[in-house]
Amino acid sequence: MTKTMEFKGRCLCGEVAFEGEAPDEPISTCHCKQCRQWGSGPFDAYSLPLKNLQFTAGEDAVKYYESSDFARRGFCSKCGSNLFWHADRHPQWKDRISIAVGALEQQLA
Amino acid sequence: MYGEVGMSDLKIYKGKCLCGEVSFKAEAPKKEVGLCHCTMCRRWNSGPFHALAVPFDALKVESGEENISYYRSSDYARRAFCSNCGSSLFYHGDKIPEIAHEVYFSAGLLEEPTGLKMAGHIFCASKGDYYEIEGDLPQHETV
Repeated sequence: MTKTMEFKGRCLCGEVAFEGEAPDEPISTCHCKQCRQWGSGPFDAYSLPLKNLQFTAGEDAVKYYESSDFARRGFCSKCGSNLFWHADRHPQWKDRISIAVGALEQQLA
Repeated sequence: MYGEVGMSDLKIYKGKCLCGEVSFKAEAPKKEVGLCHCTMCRRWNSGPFHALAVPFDALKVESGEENISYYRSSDYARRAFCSNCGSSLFYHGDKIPEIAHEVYFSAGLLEEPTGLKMAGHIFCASKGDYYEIEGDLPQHETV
């Protein structure tokens, strides 16, 4: 049985809030130029199935920028918080999403 | 009074956001990159904010000024980002007299190679619990 964890997160201004329960995956950090250009430094990501993410507020405030021919980056249009990396046009990865770890409320192991 | 006499150590910085709409140029004293581990910076950027101080007057917006959005994140500071792609651009403590003259410019925007090094870490007391701060650079609990 996969160990799962509950999570909650929000952007800096609080307009966008989300939660869910998903497999307890270790965090990965991406050092590519795109991620560093987007968030000043490497992107700390928690990856989970897209279906396990639920918005509780401000889903309409999330703006997506298509940063490549297979992925888009979601951010809060009000405060600019970098929230999601989603390979929505990738055949294998489209059903997963990466959440910016800094947006999560609880401390992760 | 000064350690060395001679030419000031000015550097040309050029940088742009992920989508390329917003681009900057600055001619400013060479600085090092500092990391802020506070919860606000990590919520804004996914992880620590990597920044270097650039005098506000030296920062020239070469394109895309209409894409720069500001979020006032506290009583004393605002955060600039690109409204098209969400790239973090800079932090400006515009209501703090000691630092209002400069912005903390996102190091990730810079053209590479940058020729820069890291200086140290601030707000280490607030860092995420899923990582450690490694190395010998100065670590400050707050500022």
